[in-house]
Amino acid sequence: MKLAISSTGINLDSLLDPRFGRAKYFIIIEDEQDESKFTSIDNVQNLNATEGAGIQTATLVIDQSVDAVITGNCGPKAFKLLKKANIKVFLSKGDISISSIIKEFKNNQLEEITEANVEGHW
Amino acid sequence: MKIAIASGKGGTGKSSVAINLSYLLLEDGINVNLLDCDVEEPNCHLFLNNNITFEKETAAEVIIPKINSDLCIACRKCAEFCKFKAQTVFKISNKIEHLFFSELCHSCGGCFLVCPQKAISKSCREIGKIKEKHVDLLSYPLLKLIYGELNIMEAKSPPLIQKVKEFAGKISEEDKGNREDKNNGDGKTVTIIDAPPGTSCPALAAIDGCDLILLVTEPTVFGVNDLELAADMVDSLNIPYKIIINKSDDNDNLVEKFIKKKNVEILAKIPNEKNYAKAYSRGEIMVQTYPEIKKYYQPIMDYIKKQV
Repeated sequence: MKLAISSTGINLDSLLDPRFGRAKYFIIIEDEQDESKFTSIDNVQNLNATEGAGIQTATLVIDQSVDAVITGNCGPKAFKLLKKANIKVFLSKGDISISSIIKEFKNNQLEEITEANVEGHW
Repeated sequence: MKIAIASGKGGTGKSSVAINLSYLLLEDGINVNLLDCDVEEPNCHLFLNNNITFEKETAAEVIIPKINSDLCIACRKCAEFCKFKAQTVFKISNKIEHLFFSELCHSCGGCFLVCPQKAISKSCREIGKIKEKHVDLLSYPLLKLIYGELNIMEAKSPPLIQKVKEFAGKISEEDKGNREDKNNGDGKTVTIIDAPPGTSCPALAAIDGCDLILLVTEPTVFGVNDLELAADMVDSLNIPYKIIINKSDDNDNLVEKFIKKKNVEILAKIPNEKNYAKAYSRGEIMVQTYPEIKKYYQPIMDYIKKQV
């Protein structure tokens, strides 16, 4: 499964960024079974967006043709877009590294959400 | 002449002044179009429920884009142009998908223009209602009450406020024509706009284009603090304004201190009187119940009559 994980840094030791729309980076993993094949995407443009950060970040992730997103929180507009693109959304919590998140994902320890877990903000 | 009744703080007496002033203008033979632009919670109609001779409700609509998927080539020019990211275009396994967030759209029309395929056409979305009521308070002249009611869940009120003003503008033009036809051209009309409180976009949308703004305040620390903010807002639009102290009492010096700094005139003081408040709470027009209130409004009336 191809994954996009919101991250505070560009490698697997980096911590999860709890924000989806305003995440600093995204770590893209081609296959959760082989985490050595990863790339990072700079999301600074959306991090600093005045409005519509969730929407733009969702579009960016959709363009990567991932199967699932792992993040801390996901608002209604971003979730609507990800759902339309058949991308699953999983939540992870706390100060946790990207490699630990991948382990949790492989062990089915992450919660998949069926609707946004936070309200939209203006 | 267009006069907006505004305030920084809520509950200072905007609607009270708007209604009583409208009544007194009618009494002096001036036609009044009263616009309740507090479209999130209009209340002027509560005081004008009797003697309604005409009622009309119109849907207020804004323009939104509609994409013809057969013509779209997913170039994303529309999505990139949209400042509010209302429009999204993406491909899922080579199929072009669109998702439009209508609540974010500001109806700027930019996406229609940038689409190289001319795939975007105009569609409409209702955001609220515009209500027009003619109230026969004093036989002649007539009070026309025009107000907006924003639909539930709508986040933005300025578009509806602008529609209410456009709607009222058309009515004024028609009335002008009618009066000329009937050779009855001496009937003057004053437009009174009851603005929403605050100093953000809704308040600005309501007061924009007015000839005079009456800032209603109360002699409290909170009232004066927000009066200062409101005065700055009005200054930024370069519209002349005067102050009205409502619920005037021993603390008026709080407002007067501010006036000295700003060099602006206090046009009227309406005393803090329990009976007046009670009449207002019963939905009565205060000057009708207590005619002695007229004298407090006299300076405002004199000032307006000099201008029309």
